[in-house]
Formats: sequence, C-alpha cells, structure tokens
Amino acid sequence: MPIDVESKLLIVDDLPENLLALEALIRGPGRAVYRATSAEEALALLLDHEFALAILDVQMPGMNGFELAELMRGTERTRHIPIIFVSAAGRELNYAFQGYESGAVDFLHKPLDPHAVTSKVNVFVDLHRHRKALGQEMEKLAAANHKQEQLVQQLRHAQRELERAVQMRDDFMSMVSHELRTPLNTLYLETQLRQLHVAKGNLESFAADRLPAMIERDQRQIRNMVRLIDDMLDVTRMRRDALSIQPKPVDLAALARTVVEGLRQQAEAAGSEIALEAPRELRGVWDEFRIEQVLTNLLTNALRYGRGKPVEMVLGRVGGTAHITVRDQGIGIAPEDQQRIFEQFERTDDSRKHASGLGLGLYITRKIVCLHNGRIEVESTPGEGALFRVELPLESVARTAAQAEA
Amino acid sequence: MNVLIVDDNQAAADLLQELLTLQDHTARCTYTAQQAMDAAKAEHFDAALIDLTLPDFPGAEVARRLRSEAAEGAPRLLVAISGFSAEDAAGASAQDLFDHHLQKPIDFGQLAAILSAPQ
Repeated sequence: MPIDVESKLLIVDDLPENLLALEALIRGPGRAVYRATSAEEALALLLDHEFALAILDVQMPGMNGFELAELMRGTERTRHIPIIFVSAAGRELNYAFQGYESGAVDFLHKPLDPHAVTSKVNVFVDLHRHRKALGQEMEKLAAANHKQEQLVQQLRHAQRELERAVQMRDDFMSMVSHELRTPLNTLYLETQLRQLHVAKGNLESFAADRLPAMIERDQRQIRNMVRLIDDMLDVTRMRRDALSIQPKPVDLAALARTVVEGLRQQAEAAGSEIALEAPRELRGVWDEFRIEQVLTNLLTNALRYGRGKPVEMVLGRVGGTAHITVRDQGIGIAPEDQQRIFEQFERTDDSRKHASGLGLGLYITRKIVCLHNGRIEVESTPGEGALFRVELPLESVARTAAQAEA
Repeated sequence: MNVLIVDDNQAAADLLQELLTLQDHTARCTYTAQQAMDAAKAEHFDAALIDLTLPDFPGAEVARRLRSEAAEGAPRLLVAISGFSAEDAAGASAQDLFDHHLQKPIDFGQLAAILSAPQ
C-alpha cells in the first residue's frame, strides 16, 4: 500500500502551552498538525481540511469539547473524524458522551502520559492512512473497470458495424450478380437461338435487313451490363471517398442535347419521347462525364417509371446557378419515400414492379450533384409523375466525397 | 409440347418462345402473372416456365395458382427461372412448388432436356 498519504491532525485547547506540548508529542513525518485555541477556530479549520483525527480539550471557555464534538457529528463532512477527548476531570465525565460509542472516540486524561498519547494517535493515523490508501486503490480499480467496460462496448460496436458491412457486401454481391444475369440471359438466349438457326441452316435469319435490329438488341443488353458494372464501381469508390470530379468548361445545353439524342431509341422502346427545352448555350465548369451521368440517370428513370407518357427536360440559368428539371407523368413517388430514394439500394415497392435495378442511380446522382456543390430535390404526387430539380453552381469547386457527405 | 412462358423481360420471353418453336414445341409468351393466369384458363399447357420476380405478383404464387386454377389440369412441368440460384431463391420460390429451377443465363440444352424427359 502506498504511504504517501498525508494525515492532518487537529488539536484544540484554550491554552497555547498545552497545544505546543501536545503537538511536540504527536508530530512526525507524513503528518500535519493544525492548532485551534477555541471550538470556533476548530470549526473554521474543519471546513477547510480533511482531518485524520481531532484531539479536543473537553473544558474550554465558550463551546466546550463535547459541544464541538456534537457539531462535528451532525455534519456529513466531519461525522467520521475520530475524536480523542482530553479531560482533567477524570472518568466521571465519560457518561456524557455515551451516544458516540459506536464512532471512533477515545479519552486521554491530564496529566498526559506521552506514551499513551503517541500510541493512540499512531493507531488512528495508521487507520486513516490505510483507509485512504484503500480508497485510492478502489478508485483506480473502478476507473480500470470503467475503461475496460468502455473498451468492450467499443469492440462490440465495431463488431456490429463489421457484421453489418459484411452482410451488406454479401447482399450487394448477390444483387449485382442477379441484376447482371438478366441482360446476360437475353444475350445468351440470342446466341443459342442463332446457333440453332445455323445448325438448321436457317440462314434467312441472318439476312441483311435483320442484322441492324439484331445488333441493336445485343448492344442494349451489353449497355445494361456496362451500366450495372459502372454503378457498382462508382458506389465502391464513393464508399472509399475516392470518387473525384474533374471540372472543366462545359456547355450543359449541348451535353443535354447529346444525352437526349442518345436515349431516343430507349424512349421509343418505352413508348415515350423526351422533349428538351434548353438555351442555345449554358456554359459552366463541371465534370462533363459525371454531369452526363446525372442527366442520363434522371432521364432513364423518367422513361422507366413514366408509363410511356412524354418526358420533359428543362435547362435554364438563374444568376450563378444552372437549373435542370426532369419531369415525367408516371407512377410518381409516395411522400414517405421521397428522401429514401436517394439512399443506396433503396427502391420503392412500386419501382421494383416497373423495372429491375440495383437502387443506385439516384444515390450516385445525388453524390455527383453534391460533389459539384449543388443540390437535388424531388416533387411528386403518386400517380401523377415526378419532378426532379437539380441546381448546379456555374463555377463549382471540386470537393471530396467525404465533404459532400457532410 | 405446349409451353407457357411468363417473364417480364419481354426480350427474354420472346427468345425462349422462338427457341422452343424451333424445337417443334408450341409456346405462348406472357409478361405478367395476370396474363399467365388468363392464358392458363383459356388453354392447356404441358409445361410452364415461370420467372420468379414478376411485376404484379411472385412467380411462386403463379405456380401455386396454376396448380389449383388451370383449365384441364395444371401443367405437368413447372420450371422456375431466376437470376438467383435455387438455394438463394428458396424463400421466394418455395422450391417444392416447382419441378425444376433454372438460373439465368438459361442453357437451352438443359431446358430442352427437362422438357423431353420421360414423365
């Protein structure tokens, strides 16, 4: 046990020469002796210090030793301080302090026997030191326990996070392979059909007028697969905060015209058409490839969930900001789903019924918009269609995915 | 053999139909569970190829209803088609409803063997 515990001793006597004599008897290393010549003075010291022992002269003018002891016992802070009374009057006064037998109380009689004084004081000082040391050990132990408990909590938390991440990765792999198998299936069936035609000598299936449609069908499946793989890789990059944008001067109006033209066949297949309303030119500094992805994602969604009704894209400029809106007249999005659709893997039940997919398009779209310091929002009434509105500062400062997250 | 195909991926359904026709089967294409049920009530099919994820209700439900509601008896063969393996799709497909499970991409040789196997 450590012994660097200082024990403070309080001695109270109305006669200074008694105090000096007593102090000479009890002082020693690791002890500090405080003297008081009255009960009032003692009370003041008791407020400021934590004493290991109080030695009280019983007979003092004003408040006597017993009265001081009563006050000490009445206060939580001083209740447990052991008390030694010093009395000249002999043992007939012992009865007066019966109530305190359970506490550490002892008596010394005048004239003081030096040996008795030092041995009694030693007992109490040792007791105090042991109690203090024990208390410190307990505190250390409690602190260590607390720290350990915290560590266990942290580990448990980390474990849960890991399990969740592994589960998510497994689900993701399962979903990606499932989604890839759909276009792969169509492609594979095509080749098996051609193989059968060749085996049967049905060469008219490969007539020149049939080839363009055949090629277009294959390309559509291949594009689907490429898009799935790109989305998957983008999400992986975003998780690692490794998706960066490279802003360069771009004409958004020209880019939009190219995207709409590229989607013309897909729109026809959906029984829809895309109307584009854009100024002749809308110049800004963005990552062209990523903004093209935003336009494509929004328009593809509008075609997929637009129930074959016309889709409209409007571009404009308000102050230092480019505005893009994409409106469809399709199934729409329920109010409770309107925030969720921007999270990864989130798909509404309605959207699942209308098209397959990973649930990554809008997540990626919002990430890209945020990386350009822009914002995206949706307005929709279920059954009446959806309106996606994107605002992009003309001059965006490149940010990391982590900043965009904040 | 008269085969009912139900797959919301129209291109895949049409290709299966063409392949089956080339193998001297007759096939009917449907793209939703409801269309499949309507077709099954109108004519008899010897086999049904059912995609497990359909827009209106699950393929397993189509299989269940075909067994109980089809005209002139249910198809002899019910084949599940899915992007998931039989194990992964177990919950959705209620495997015992189907005689076979084919994972996409479908190997037509395997399908042809299933259809031509003796009863």
